[in-house]
Amino acid sequence: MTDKSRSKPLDAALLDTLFEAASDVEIAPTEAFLARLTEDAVELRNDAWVASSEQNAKGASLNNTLQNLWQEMGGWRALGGLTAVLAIGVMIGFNPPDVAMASLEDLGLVASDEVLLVGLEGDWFGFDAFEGAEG
Amino acid sequence: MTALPKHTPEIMHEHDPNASLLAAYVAGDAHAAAALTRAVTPMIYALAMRMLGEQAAAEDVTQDAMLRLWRYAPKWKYGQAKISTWLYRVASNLCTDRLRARRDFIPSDAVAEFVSDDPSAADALQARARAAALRDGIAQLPERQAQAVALRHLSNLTNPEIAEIMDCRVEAVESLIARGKRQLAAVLAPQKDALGFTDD
Repeated sequence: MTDKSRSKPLDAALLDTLFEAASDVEIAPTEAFLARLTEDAVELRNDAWVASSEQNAKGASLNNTLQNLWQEMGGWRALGGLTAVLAIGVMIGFNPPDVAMASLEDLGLVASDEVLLVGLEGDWFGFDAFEGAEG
Repeated sequence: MTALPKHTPEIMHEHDPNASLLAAYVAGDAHAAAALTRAVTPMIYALAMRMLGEQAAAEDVTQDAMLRLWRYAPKWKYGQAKISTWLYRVASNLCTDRLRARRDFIPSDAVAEFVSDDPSAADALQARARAAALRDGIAQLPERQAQAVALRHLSNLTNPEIAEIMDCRVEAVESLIARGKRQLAAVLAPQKDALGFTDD
């Protein structure tokens, strides 16, 4: 009786045969699908970029509002770390985490070594959050 | 040839023609969007099809990856990375996400022995069965091993290219591929006869 769980591993050459067969198969997207992707690009170019600039404007406005608030309340040191984290949470809603941090640091609201951020992983590489921002 | 936006030094695009197209798209050239789509879509669609085995799923992954590229195109940092590298990373991550979700379900019996009088039909069925068995086997690998094996043996990328995509050293890629193939060989061993591999 054969114990399949103890089968001898597949020979390397046979594995390569499987790989070659899989990668040799001609695979191509349909013309309709390509057209759909191009349409996405054209639609996004206007819609998303307009929304992005509106969000940037909101972010700048929020910066000013926060700065005024902090100054009235004696700054973040008066309120402690928890409030600083809450401020960052609001900023992240408008910006990627690294830009949120940069904005708050620029405002003097928080020191980078005093707040722990869990940022977006991986997929941001290659993109500037803003021109001149740390990549 | 599509003209480059004036603010973008031409030298930044010399090593990545797709970056030139992306810059032109950002500048408003709709033809550049179509050209870039044609240039990059086939490679990530093929990877997704070979890893997932379903046209709908492969199209979803491909469209998701391309939407991310279009959405953030104005912020692309020219000269830092190749667009194809970034797309391979996004697409392979999206594929392994889907494969992880599938592990919760008992995979269908990928190898169904089928008797047919037509040799070409039997060959085609065997080819499909082998491709399905390979996909299921890759799906059982740890994610990083699955990605490395798929990029190397399904997309035929080089180890340095894979290292850039996976953001690791070439030695790490080699290790992932070696371990992944060893595990794959063990996983597929019980199906050897059904896959039409007989001992000499």
